[in-house]
Amino acid sequence: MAIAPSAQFQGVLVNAAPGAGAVASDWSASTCTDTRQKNWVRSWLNENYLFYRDAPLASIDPDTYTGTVSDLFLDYTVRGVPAKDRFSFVVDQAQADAIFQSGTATSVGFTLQRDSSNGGIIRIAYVEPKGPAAAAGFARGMVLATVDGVATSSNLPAALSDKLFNSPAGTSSQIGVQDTLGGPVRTLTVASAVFPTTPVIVDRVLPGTTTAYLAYNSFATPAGELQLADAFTRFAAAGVTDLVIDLRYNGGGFLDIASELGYMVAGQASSQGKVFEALVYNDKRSADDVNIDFTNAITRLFGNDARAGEPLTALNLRRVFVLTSGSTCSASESFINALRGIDVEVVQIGGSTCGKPYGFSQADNCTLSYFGIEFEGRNDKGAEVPLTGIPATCAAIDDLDHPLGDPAERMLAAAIGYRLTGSCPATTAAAASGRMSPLAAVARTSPALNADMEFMTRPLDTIQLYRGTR
Amino acid sequence: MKPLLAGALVCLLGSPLSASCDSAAQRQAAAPAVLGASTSQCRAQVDDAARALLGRTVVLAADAFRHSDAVVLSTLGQSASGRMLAPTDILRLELGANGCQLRLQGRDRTLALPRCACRAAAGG
Repeated sequence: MAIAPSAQFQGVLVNAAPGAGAVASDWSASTCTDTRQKNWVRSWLNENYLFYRDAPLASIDPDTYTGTVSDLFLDYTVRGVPAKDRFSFVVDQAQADAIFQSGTATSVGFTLQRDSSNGGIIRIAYVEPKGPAAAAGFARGMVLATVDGVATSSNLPAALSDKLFNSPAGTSSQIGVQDTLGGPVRTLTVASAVFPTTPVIVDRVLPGTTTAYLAYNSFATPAGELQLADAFTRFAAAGVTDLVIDLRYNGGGFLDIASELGYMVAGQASSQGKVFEALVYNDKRSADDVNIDFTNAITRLFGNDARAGEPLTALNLRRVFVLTSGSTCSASESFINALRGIDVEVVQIGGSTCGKPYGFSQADNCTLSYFGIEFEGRNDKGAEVPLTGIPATCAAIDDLDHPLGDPAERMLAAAIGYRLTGSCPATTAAAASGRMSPLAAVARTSPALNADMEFMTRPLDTIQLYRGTR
Repeated sequence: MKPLLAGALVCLLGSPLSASCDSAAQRQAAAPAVLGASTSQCRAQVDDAARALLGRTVVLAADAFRHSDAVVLSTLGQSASGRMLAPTDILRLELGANGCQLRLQGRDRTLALPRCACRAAAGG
């Protein structure tokens, strides 16, 4: 069956101003009828969707479909190809177009996690060093006992989650915390704010060793490019021979920064002429296929011009330890997969990663923004991240009773143990505990919400929240 | 008259808005800059200028342009991928002949920021 080109159904913008398209009056109404939009969705997917061959594009007729255009998109994608696609989504263009300074967040500045070792209570996984929570005295491991007087130790209602993580700067909350399990509750006051995030929250050489530890929480922060470069320069100066990279909370970000990290681990000899990740589109778009190489110098891509061209320091390792969980996603998985693609051994400690080998961009039509999977990433050997996630070499769960970078912290301790013995510690766990993103409460009551996606970086949480309540 | 000088003259005489200038000559003279202090009046003016350049409100951190002349922008849509390709929009703070100004990288148009105090960026 022939499907007409999407251009035939594309809405026409009548507002040529920058940033237009978010409201109906920006579009020619006659080009944005329900039928035209539905036909555009099918045609766009037929041209761009990675799984267009699997999607029910022929069996679901847009001309007779009685649901909304958003539902049709989902019927063609996540509901039409459930074995492959857990990620495609659609939101209002106004939501998708919201612009923010890369590397900033608007929230109280901590990340929560359900502690499966202690009955599923909600605890603070980490605190952003430059955020309001750090200034107010919050710390990793604290139990979230109450928010504005409502008990939250085992359940964070969506409204309170929204207040903490998805409300305008200046929104104040009274939070009861326990410093230790079962300890007294004390109340701290914190207000959400726009603040710069700190992607490298710990980098240190473990005392008495040549093993370095790096906790890196996001590839989406431009400042991270310089933080990583400086950390590796310090590691090299200290004679580091083993490295533990903690990506347990890293939901992805810029592939170019991930490729720099890959280079700094592997070095020139291992990575020269090799592909960090090949982005492969469907066979109708093979002209868009592109290879991302290992990057050996600071770029101009992220505004760090004053240091652009500065060579990155590489440790030239043949083995690296990576701490992972279900929150380790997308570009973080690319990093692991890319190193394995050039035969650098990755000893993975923790839980399986989220399993997202795909990427997409935004396609706008008639006030809606569509995000259908467009490409998959493959390493130099042509292998992609499995949909079930990259399994851990040694299972271990997050240990909220110890700071990140403490050699006694369970996941780091397992890495250290493996380095010493060459095998996993005797005490292993079935799976890493799931990080509780601000959307977890919503996720529990909203089957439509993609559970994996909630682990992505902060701005995405907002989109996912929207999707979950749509 | 040399083209650049002509451009500068158009900039001075031809703009209906005192805060707006499309001159390539002025951009050529401008140097990367950072904010010396971040007053509320200055931040409001930066917010307004960014909105005017991009057509949409931009959420900036309180310390934007305090340590770097560049602010890399993302949209919620872009960040949704998790496999993000290089950003396309970067705001640049510059110190021009008439003081502080904001520009969207790759574009000629600049907007003056008379309520902000700029100094040349280190290494710029």
